[in-house]
Amino acid sequence: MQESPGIRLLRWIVLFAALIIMLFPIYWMVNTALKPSTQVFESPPTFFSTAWSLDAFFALFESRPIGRYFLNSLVVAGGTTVLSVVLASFAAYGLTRFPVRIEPLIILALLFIKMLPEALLVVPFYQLIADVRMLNSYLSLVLVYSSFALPFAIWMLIGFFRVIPRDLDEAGIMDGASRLQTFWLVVLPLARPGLVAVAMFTFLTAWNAYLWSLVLTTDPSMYVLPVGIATLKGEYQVHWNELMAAAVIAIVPVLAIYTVLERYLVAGITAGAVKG
Amino acid sequence: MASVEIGSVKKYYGDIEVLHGVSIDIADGEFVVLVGPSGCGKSTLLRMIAGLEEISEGDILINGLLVNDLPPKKRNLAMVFQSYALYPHMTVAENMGFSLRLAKQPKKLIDQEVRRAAEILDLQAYLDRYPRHLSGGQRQRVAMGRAIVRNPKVFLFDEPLSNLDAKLRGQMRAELKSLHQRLGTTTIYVTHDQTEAMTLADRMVVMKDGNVEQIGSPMDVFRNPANQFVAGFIGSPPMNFIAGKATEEGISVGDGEMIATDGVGRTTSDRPVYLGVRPKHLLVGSSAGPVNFPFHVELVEPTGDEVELTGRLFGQRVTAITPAMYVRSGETVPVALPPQSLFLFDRVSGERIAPL
Repeated sequence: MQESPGIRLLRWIVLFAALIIMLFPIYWMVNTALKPSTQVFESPPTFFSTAWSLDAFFALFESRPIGRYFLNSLVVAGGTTVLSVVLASFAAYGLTRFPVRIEPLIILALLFIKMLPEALLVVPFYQLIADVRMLNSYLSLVLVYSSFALPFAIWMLIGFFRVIPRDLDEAGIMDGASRLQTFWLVVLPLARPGLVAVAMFTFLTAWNAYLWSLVLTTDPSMYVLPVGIATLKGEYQVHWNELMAAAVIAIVPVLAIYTVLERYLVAGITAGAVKG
Repeated sequence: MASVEIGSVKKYYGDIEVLHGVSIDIADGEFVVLVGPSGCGKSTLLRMIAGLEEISEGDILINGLLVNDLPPKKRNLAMVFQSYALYPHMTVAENMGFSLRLAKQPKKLIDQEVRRAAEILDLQAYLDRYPRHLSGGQRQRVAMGRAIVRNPKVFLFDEPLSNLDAKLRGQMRAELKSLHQRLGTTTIYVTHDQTEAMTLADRMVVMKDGNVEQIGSPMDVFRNPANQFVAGFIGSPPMNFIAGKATEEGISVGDGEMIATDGVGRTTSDRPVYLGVRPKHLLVGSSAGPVNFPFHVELVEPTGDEVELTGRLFGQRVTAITPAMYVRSGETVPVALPPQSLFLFDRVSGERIAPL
């Protein structure tokens, strides 16, 4: 069907408006990060300055161990992703492949856990981690993040695993594969879009998580990026351009991951909807 | 190659018994078809032989070896699924070689075996394609190829042709038969289609509600059905059953009309019976026989050389097949029931009352 020029124009306008609304904060973040601090609060604000420079980035690296924060975030988010995806795929395989009498209950419980506000668990988790003397450790952060990431990951993977016909498992078994081999060689390759989608989602959630590392790390060298960035907000003054520079650094991996894996994510989102 | 002995096998799902003690002896190299309506337990039995379902009671022996507790992998059987169950992420060659790859065979041998199977099935041109790029018939062949590659002791087929269109089904049926003749591997084949069962089987096992109703060669089962169920299930269109009562002179039906049976099944008088006659054995037309009965035709379906007539005989619904002739619905035509083509069944138990 040929759409009329008017409709087409309208479509572009709407798309453009939406894009501006979404991208403006990111533009403003970059803009602020590049401005000298004297121009940050100028009125009227400048959208482009000839004084743009990377000074804020250099200042930031001098004042804070940003590299260390970055590494901490990478370890924690990466560890959470690996642990969650591995455990979730086993759980989802088990739930979809073996008759589990309380399956509806398990699925409901997964949703229920997801419904709990995280703040509710701050005190018990802190106490638990402190009792086993695991404050300021990667492991405790990975475990705590995974405990929040797992329900959603399992829930999503169940959807992906369910559409993979069980005949394929049985064909694998008849071909002489063990359960583990069918899982590894038949089911997982077919669930790849789902695994990628779940891994990305888990990584991004863990990457952006703030509350738990704030509570469970007291040693500044163990701060993850969001917590480290927050410390830039001093008591008396805020170096907005440095803060924004740190934010720019924080979104680099996110952008990179999206760029590389975007096609899997799209495939993953649609695969669940229509039988793939 | 191997023999398969199934001895008093039972299957329970919870408290529900779905197989009530099935016994079948399958000889080395035989093509046995398990046939029956859906829910009769034929697929369950096949899956128990495969090792995909546990055996609740009884024994299954392959080549004399008890396999009840052996995992599928150790039974050395190959199975072709109704859905084909091809691995979508592997090429045709990878699909067919998967079992050998799992068995850690050298790559050269895998290639060689895959090529051999591809040659048998005429799949050489498709080895590098993915299943999604193949037609239904080609997928079916790949599924068979995957089974052939392994040189199994027994082939198991679970309704392998039911996803194909009618024409292709006939073609694949012939291919299957010639494949069995060439390879000579013991084959157990499950279907609900009696035509498939008749054409493929050396011996067929007719099942119903978890019981074996009859075992025999297709012609034997067709000519000598053990009971009313088998008689009605095998043959298309199905056999007609006319309710009646046994008397001294013959079978009395409808308003006291008497059908001579020449002692087809002599039985106690007044016993309620069904008289069975296949649609093709009803002789239609004025010159049909010495004793004719009026047949009220309600539906005329020409199939080419023949016409299928449905209507009422002795007030009961009956189908007749007759060489093409001019009959209109609403007409009444004479039919004869030749005594030598009649079957007699007990109306209560359904058992055949055997000819004397």
